Amino acid sequence: MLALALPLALGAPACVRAYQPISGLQAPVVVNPAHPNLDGVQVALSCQAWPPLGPQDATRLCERVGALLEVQGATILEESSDSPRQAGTAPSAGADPLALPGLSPAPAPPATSGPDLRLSLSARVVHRARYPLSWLACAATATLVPAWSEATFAQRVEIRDARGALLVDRELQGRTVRRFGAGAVLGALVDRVARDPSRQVTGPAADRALSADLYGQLSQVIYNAHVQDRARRAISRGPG
Amino acid sequence: MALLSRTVTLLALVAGLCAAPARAATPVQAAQEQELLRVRAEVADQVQLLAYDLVDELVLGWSQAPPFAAPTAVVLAQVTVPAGLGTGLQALVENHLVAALAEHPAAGLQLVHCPACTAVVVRSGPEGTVLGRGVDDPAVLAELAGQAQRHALFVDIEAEGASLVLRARLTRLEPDLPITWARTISSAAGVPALLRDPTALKTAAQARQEYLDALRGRGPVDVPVRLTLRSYKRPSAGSGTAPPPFLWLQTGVELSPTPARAWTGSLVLGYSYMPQAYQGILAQTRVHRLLTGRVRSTTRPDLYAFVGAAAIQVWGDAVSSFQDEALSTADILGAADELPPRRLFGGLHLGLDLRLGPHLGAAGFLELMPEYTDSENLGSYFRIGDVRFQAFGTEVTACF
Amino acid sequence: MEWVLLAGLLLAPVLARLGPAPGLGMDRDELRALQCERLALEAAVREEPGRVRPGRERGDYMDRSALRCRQDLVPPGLRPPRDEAVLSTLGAQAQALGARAVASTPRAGPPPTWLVQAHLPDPAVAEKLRVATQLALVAQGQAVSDRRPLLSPHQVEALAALPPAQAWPEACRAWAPQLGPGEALLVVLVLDRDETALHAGRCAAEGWSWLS
Repeated sequence: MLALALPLALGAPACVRAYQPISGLQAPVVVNPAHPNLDGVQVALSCQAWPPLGPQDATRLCERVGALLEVQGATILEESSDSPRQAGTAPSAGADPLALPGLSPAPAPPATSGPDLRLSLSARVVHRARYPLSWLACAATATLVPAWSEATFAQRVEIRDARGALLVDRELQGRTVRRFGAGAVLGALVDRVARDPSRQVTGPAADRALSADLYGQLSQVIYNAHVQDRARRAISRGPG
Repeated sequence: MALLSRTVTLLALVAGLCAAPARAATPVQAAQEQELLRVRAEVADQVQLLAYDLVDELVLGWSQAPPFAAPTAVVLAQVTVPAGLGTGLQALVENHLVAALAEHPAAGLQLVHCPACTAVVVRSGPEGTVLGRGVDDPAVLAELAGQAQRHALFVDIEAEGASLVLRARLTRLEPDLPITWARTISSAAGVPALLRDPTALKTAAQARQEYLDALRGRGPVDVPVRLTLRSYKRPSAGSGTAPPPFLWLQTGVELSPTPARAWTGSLVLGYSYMPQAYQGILAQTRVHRLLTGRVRSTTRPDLYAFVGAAAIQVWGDAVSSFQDEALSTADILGAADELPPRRLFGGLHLGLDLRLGPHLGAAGFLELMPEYTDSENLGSYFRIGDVRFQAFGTEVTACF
Repeated sequence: MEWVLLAGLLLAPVLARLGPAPGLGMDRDELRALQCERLALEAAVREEPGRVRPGRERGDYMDRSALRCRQDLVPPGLRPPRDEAVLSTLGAQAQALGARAVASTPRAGPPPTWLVQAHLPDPAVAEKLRVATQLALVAQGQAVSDRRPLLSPHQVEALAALPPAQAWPEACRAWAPQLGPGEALLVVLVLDRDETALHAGRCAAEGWSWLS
């Protein structure tokens, strides 16, 4: 009885999350997200809510991305009012999977005109699965064999210039896997003890990896759009 | 290859036009460099076979549809391999291409040596001094135009994500350098290397079709014929006597729900006979799970894990040991006067089955007999707590 | 407890093969070397025959799809990120550049013979991009030449001092006399060392035009 109770007791709070980039999120990143890549650029930011995440999640994502861009020297304008967001109002990095570890926003210069870039973020759930057989096996083995569920999400990034011309339209896909049970907890422990922190895949390491991938890609595509926008302006002004 | 001087100056142009300053590279320690070199060599090894397949398909394509109406002299101007993988791979691919062309004269490409085309030359003129290869130099090309018509072959191989891509082009060696023929061949990393028989090249599509035909050609039912030896562990202490090894001849059916054969199930019947010792019959069922991939390969060995159950009936003078009490001398001596003992028991087993191609296999398994958990005549090969595996079996299988 | 362990051992091979997933079987580096896509059941059965069981005629008990993953041939970190960004999508980028070049061609008159140049910080990667773009143009039915127009060192020196918006049209002015009748030069370039996107311009007798 004790033998059965132990894994059950271990498994009761045991839901281990892991993250895997599917496409786009693991693409090479050249820019350093901590450098002032977007110095003086005004960015209008909008984040759309998507099921099952509500408006508060979209707001939180917007705040995080806004803080990321402010670190790089951009001025963030609320999409509805076009008014600059107060610098330093980004929520602090905590246990949030989308936290910005080690980055603090730089003071934003006052906005003088409309945005240079309009950044729109939206997401959707591509696929979601719970494996009933794994739950049966989990129950049959007193949670030693983990039960599984997983979801694949897609983050769409759309960037337009001041005139509304499309500069970037990309979709980044990732997958989160949740395992339940004593087996999952043991696996997470082995992951944490036996692996170098940079190669861990579960728990806080999964959150860090998702943050690094998402913000790295966002930094790169926004920088690409900024360079393209700058070139277009220079070309349209012509020589001299 | 670009003219070297031009490359240097264009690099300066690009550097000048790039607005953002370059960041200094992070210093890499010697150990990391060593590790990088090791990984590079490893990747080059893996890419090499795939590159050979692409070259084979290129040559096969020429054999089936020659790019020239008549055999034509061609200079192998350049072969490049994936960036960062070194020049050793380049030499191997170049040699393979030359060998494949020599094996396939129907391709219509006669490789010729053209020192003026491939050598690095220096020319001075009003524009300055130009350093570069002959195929890039208009003056050299103008001289070649007076000779027999020649073409230059350029082959570039690059690793693009999960695919290796070969790009080949034939350029006529005249001042305008028109590209007269070009082809791009891409191969996913998972394509099996089936093109490398030099006497019977086939396209990737043909190879894939053969592979699928082989997969689909395997029906859902196989008939295994199996020779199994079950050995019973002698008790480590006490006076018990272990049963003798049993040799079984088994046959039945093996079923698979999909052509992939990731899961299979089998049901077999068996017979065992040792003159003046024992006879036996058994019925056995198993479930196999493929461990090496998701599809049973037709070209390489595969490993299955299996669990199963057997019902065994044995009789004869040598089967007295299948009992809980230790076999005494009186039991053995008295056995001659009585009817031979008969035992019926069950066994649960788990093991590994190595399948060598579609027809042969070899397996090993551990078996526990719950009926004789406390038998003094049986030891255990392996135990988890109170669960004792008293028997160990090895077998060879031929499937039809 | 022993029976539970045994059951776990027996089921482990079954449950360990649910596909490539983060866990003890794969660490972060291995996961990042995979390029995956989720396929609908019909597409998965069609493209991966033998691996995916077709749906039952009366329907399955659950929605089924497949996650197909392929491993990158070159592990992450082996090549500089800037080079990897270009090389890992070389074919797709070359196709897009070729299509943009063809779309930029004036409809009046015969199609041009294309000359191609690529200007990237790494000359080896630039050469690969040039070749891929040339072959993409050939695949779109265009006439392509392997010839490369030249710039003299002092021209390069002068152009390097100009901002990009001015430098490339000026470079085109120097290249134009080297272009034959009916020839157009497609130039693929990066404007900034930290960007991973590519830009293109068309140089012909009538002058320089950006392709965007």
